[in-house]
Amino acid sequence: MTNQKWKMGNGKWEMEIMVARIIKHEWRNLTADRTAWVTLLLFALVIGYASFKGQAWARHQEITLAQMRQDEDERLGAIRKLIAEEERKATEEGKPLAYPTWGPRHPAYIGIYRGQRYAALPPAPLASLAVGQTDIYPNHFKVSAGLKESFLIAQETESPFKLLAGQFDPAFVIIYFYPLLILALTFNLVAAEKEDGTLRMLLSNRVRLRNIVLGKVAARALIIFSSAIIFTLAGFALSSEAFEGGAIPRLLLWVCAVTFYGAFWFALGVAANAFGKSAATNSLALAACYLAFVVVIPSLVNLGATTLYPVPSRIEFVNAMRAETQEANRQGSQLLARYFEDHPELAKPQDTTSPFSKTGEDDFAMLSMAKDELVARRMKPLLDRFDAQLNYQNRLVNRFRYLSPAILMQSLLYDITGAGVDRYQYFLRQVDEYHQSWRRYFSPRIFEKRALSSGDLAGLPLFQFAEESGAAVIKRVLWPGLAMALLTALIGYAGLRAYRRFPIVG
Amino acid sequence: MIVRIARKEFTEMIRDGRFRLAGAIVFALLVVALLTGWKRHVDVSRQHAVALQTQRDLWLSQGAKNPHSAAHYGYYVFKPKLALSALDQGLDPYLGVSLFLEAHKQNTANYRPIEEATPVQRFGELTAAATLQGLIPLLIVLLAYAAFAGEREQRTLRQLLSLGMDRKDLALGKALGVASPLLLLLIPATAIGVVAMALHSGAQSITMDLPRLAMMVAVYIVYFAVFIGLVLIVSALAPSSRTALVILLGFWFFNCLVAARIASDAAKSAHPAPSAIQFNQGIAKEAKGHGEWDDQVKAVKARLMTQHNVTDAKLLPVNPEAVALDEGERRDALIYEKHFNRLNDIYQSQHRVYQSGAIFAPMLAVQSLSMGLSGTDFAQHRHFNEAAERYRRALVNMLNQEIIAQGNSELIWDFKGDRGLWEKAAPFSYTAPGLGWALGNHAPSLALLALWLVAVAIVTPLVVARVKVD
Repeated sequence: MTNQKWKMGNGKWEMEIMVARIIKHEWRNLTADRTAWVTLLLFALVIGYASFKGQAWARHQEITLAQMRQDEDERLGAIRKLIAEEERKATEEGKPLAYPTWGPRHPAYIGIYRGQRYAALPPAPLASLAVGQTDIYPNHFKVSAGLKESFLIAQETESPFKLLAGQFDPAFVIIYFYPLLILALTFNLVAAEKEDGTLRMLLSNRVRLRNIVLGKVAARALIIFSSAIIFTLAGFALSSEAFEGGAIPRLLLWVCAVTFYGAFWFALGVAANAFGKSAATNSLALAACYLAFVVVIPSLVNLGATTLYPVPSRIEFVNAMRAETQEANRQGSQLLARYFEDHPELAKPQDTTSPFSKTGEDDFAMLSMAKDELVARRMKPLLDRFDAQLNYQNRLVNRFRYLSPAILMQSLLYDITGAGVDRYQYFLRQVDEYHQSWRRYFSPRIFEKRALSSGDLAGLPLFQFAEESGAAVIKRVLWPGLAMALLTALIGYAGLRAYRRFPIVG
Repeated sequence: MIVRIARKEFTEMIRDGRFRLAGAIVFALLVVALLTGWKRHVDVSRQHAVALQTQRDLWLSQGAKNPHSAAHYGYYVFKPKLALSALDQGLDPYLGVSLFLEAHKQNTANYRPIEEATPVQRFGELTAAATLQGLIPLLIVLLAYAAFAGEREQRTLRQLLSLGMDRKDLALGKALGVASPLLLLLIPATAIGVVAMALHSGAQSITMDLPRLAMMVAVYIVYFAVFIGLVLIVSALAPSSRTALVILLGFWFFNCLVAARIASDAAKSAHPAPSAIQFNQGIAKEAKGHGEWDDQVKAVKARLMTQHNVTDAKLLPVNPEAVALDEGERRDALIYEKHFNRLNDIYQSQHRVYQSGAIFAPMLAVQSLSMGLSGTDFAQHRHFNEAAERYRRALVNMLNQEIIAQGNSELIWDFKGDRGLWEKAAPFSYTAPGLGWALGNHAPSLALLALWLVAVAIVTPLVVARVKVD
């Protein structure tokens, strides 16, 4: 049947068969080559190691969160016990409990100093595939009713040497190692056939050079793509203790990104071969491209961002904050008066016989709440400037990431796995809301001088992280993903067209 | 003869447009890195000088308050940067820049610059050190991968050797031939660096920085020499120039992008550091072991009463609360010291493991030495933090003594200090230790780099002597 059609000279059909034959032939060639198997084994080992490291980091995050929960339970449990003890004594003695000057029942004791609760970010949905920015930013904050800046400070979570060296996670392997593998398989795609003299023989058949190239690339792509995808997915499946259904759409995006990124490097290899230069020249040119895309352009983009939009100095920030605090301290009683103007609902002293009740100026908790609010308001413009500069930097990077598929891929993988900045910002906004609700819970109690009971402790506001919606993630990765596909298509198309003028001889 | 070979190699490279282009790009990157690094250093130094003065002013003008309130008000200090940090940022982006000194506790440095950077910074910053550690070796690979393999492929090696030329001379000539275009690039860059440094920092700091700079230049020269030797070895052994190139690019990739990751993984598993929560809990548990404040005061009171042989606390010469405050401060400082020492020792042990990775990748040794000489390594960070901690203790103890000096009065907490008291605390000043200290922290790197040099110096002539002609 096939033979008959072949004889019928159906051109297109003939071509397709030819391409299929080339793929089959290349496949045989590649699989017969021992170095190919060794390389694949190395690739599997590298991804295996990376998955193991990625999982170790995810587990480290889980352990931190468990320690955090334990710490919170112990602290709050101890406070509850102390309060219960006081309450028991009071009932025994038959005396009502007065508002304490300090101690476990004091709202500031719990809200600001001893009873803070944690706001925690659970590991990213595909945590073991990319460490991303999660090794820089803390995954939990001990939220207090005080100034946000007092608890928003990050403590070292990862060894500085590790941060300097970078992580060896699957994202690293895909961004750095995987293109090298592809380039190693494509730099002599046509050049070798030409140098061996087999190209002329091949082309004496009824086949176009373009189709030979396509066939050769298809065979290689099949091996590389499938192994990259199978190895990383297997690594993920093996390393994730609890596989959640929600991870599947993200995994699909991961597969797409890995394929597109690989396709880009294949297209580059195809284009490099189109000039008909020697394999050595191709390898130099491709090494230069790799270096430019993976090392030089990212560092230049970073330099541009930090030079054009430098973040204000933290040293100056600390000084400004200090000056504002001193100023607030100096204002003393005026401070409270102004605070009550802003919060008339709180200016209702319960106990008019208390010496503090009128101005509250000797009640350090009231003063501290008022002071924090003033300092926060005064510091807001400076803090906004930090955010604004960083936003400008991010925007610049987002604009210039199209210059390098490696930057593009980094932002794609960070977004897909949830290890990037956006999910973290989403978390920070929730922390902010939680801080507000924590303050709303304690500030009336401090100003109305209402002590906390042991029963109140169970009802303290609780932080619950709401995961980003899938739509938001897809919206973010859509453009860079399309851009990468487009870039690949353009380079691949131009490369294939260039084969028309390929110097087969000479 | 050696000179003639070197001259021939040099001319060939200089005339090759590809190498000219690569050289020009690397040179441009190096100059950009130097200039931006220098500008950043100037900015940070200026902010630093201003901040130091502002903190002092704030401290002196805090007004009348109890000395203990002043201790809680505290003092901020900022980590200064050496001039050479313009060349190598080292660990600085990953370590905090400001330290809050206050009563009762030792804090960790806050505000790591990396937290205020975009994710693209994770690809690496463009610094002079990054260019020297990563791009120059790559340039060496490109310049020399065909040194022997290429001659063999063009059949010129046989010709050359038939002239009766000494193979060692050939090796040395080739090495010099690669080194000379590099020098053409590095000498102007170094000159720019030195001039920038001299323009910014006065004669005083130059005397301090020059030995460090000279040492740094030596380290990089050794590194490049090692790389040239390695490239010649591979080129002599490889069956074809293509194979030589693939092997060398593979080694470059391992040396610059992979080795540090694996070495830091090994360092972390060999010496795991506690999490921030664990660390804080460890301190809190130990501090709590001494009981609540009221109990501590009671204990001090009882002890003082037996000491002074009185039966009424009112007859004591000092207020027990003041003594308890002072003793608690000193005791807690030791607890903090123990825990911080333990943590810092862990990090320094990690650094030792990290450095030993230089057995496989010379870049790790150079990276360590370079940041050590730039004052951006962990040892320097720790040295500064410990100096700040000593200052904190002296400050807080001085203030506590002032409270004790009020005698046995009920009103010690109402006593208010004034500007005169605040001035009693000398301003904080810090000087970084010298070159010997900096090198001592990186002795393993120094040894391993020397080992690489010796190994390459021995192996290269041996391999070249046996180079296959066909």
